[in-house]
Amino acid sequence: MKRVVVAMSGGVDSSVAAALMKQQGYDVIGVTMTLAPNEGSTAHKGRGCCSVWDVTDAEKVAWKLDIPHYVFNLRQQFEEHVINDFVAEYEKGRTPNPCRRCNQHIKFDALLEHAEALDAEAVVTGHYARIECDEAANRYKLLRGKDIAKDQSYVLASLTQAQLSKIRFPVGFYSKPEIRQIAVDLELGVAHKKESMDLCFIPDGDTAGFLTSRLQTQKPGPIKDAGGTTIGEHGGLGLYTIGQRKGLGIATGKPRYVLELQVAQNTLVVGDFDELDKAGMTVDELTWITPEFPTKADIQYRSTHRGCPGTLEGRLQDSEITVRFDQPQKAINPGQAAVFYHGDEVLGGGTISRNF
Amino acid sequence: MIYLDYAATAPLRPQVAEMLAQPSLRTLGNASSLHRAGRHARHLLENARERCALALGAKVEEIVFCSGATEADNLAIFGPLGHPDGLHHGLVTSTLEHAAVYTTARNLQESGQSVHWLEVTPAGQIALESLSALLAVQPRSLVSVMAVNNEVGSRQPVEQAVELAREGGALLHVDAVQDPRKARELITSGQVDLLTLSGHKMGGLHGGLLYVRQGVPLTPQILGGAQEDGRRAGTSEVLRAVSLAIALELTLEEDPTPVRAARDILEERLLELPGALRLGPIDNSERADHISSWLFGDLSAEPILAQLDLLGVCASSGSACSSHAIEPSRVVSAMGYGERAMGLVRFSLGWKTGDDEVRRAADLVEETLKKMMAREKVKR
Repeated sequence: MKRVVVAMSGGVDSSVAAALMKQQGYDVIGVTMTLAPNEGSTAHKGRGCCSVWDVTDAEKVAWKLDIPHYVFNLRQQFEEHVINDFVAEYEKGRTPNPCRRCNQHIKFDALLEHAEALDAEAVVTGHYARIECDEAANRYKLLRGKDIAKDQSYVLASLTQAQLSKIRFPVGFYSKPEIRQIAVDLELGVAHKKESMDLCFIPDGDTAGFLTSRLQTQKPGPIKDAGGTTIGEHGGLGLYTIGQRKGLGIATGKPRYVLELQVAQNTLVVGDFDELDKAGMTVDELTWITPEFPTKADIQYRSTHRGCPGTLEGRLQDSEITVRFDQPQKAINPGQAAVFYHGDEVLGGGTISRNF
Repeated sequence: MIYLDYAATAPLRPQVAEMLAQPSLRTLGNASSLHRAGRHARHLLENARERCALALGAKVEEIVFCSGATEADNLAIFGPLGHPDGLHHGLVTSTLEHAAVYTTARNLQESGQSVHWLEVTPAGQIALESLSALLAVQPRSLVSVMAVNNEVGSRQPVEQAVELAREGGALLHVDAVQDPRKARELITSGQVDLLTLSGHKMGGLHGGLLYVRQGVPLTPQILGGAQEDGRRAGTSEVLRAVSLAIALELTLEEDPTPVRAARDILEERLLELPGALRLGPIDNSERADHISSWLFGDLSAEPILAQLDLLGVCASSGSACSSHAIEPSRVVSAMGYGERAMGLVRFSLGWKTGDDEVRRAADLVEETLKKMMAREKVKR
């Protein structure tokens, strides 16, 4: 029997992923990776991701499905590669995407290593995305999940051909309601479990509080308008994101938005909604799934965005490329991922380095 | 299934299972009740206490039954240190201790009490020089030293610790969960003040016993009824106590030679594996018969243990956190292995382990490790 390792977070999606693989006749091994720092009991503040209770949920599902289940400790790697980077990016006035970084540097590498050690042929997760094999070209394609509202291909764009060849996303071929229904039909206890919306290492959702406790170099500085006039004071640049409107603490009679974080001058630049418009951006840390450089693509630059058309200037081997939007786009945040699509297909992606 | 995790929990002894199945237990009452069902329970409880006392060379009133060894360890530490007579101040212990003692000590330290940490040798034993130095400064301490370390099997120099403790009037607590024979020795010869045992490590139910030498001051830590002579409140856990008595008697009657022989068979095979390093003292007299702990090159224990489990071998690593993920072993770190503390693989044997079982286990360990080492990819 072919063996697969399923990453089980204790949520409904990965639980159903395990069930689907089992139904398809695979020898399934469940694995839960603990990532977020272990800070004692979280029961009193509600469950965070990777809490004991999530592991317990995963164990219950595994027991019900009659599959072995193991917990692997990746806390140290997660702290080093994801949390430290998350804080460092904010220090630089950028807006990081820790889920993408975790997928790129930790989660799949660790899973694939464990799968190999356990003689499994593939790794399975509960992500809403699809992988297709183009047998003629002997290449794998990464596609948006069937449920567009749930699609997670944006945080998976850094997967390589080698990784894609050993990964399965069974959930990506279903809609969220269908997944919940499967969980109900199989009487999995997690069928109605609430979606986790927060970052797994900030279970209470208080990102600002988390950053305040971690950021080293935060000091107050001026808030200026685009003309250079000081109109207020900010509490430290790490707490702001381009496009942010709330929490600026300035009363000017009209809504003001964060336009730019000038780290060197410790200055926050704000302006009108229209001033958020950007014609393009540069993108580095590039990874490509497609074998050919796409000159035209739909570009997604935020996890909740669904892409806009634009032109790409560069070559596959370039370390940085330039992207020009067909229409100006708002709130282009350096540090966020830019992912390039043709229709549902992910061509590649990278990190936004500058906007213009 | 080949079960090699006795140091975590030993399989239930058939004699205990038979006891639990007795029809007369179905009408067992509360040991504090005056009626016949209560008397029956009280008879069983006090009979169990008598059997434990007899087996250990203790007086019946020196035996306190607890929910488990962790509670017993907590009582052994907080009990004397919190006593209003104020005779004993400060705790002396080491990072080798089980979490039941270690975490309790950390907690005391954080609450501002004086806690001194003994130095630890690379073989996983406390350094006696550091004990005498600390006792010179603080003679009337409570010293807590385990008989056998649960992660690497190293015997601690308990007899020497007793002598040092006695000189200055310190109290000595020994967590003897991994060595009931040593418990009998220490108690019979009157060498120890407080001593912890655990039922499930001997093949009984999960339940604990604290030996408290007569005259040692003890403040109860769980408040409520007057059970256990006012030292541990809560409805008496009769069946746990009976199972502990049965398991203790059987353990002390057993010939240790077969376990030692099985361990030697296993170790002879594992030593041949490239990169294999057995932890703990080299001299067999300085380590327990039933624990064999290893580092295999730089390999992390997690995939090894998972693969072994898939092949039907139950072994374990040091300690686990609340989400059952393996944590770097504090003990292996204290022994100076630093980064490699995630690699601890422990095999522990017991009353049911047979030679054929360990031979088969050795085959499977060898198969697993050769494959993993060849891959050299799965690292911490």
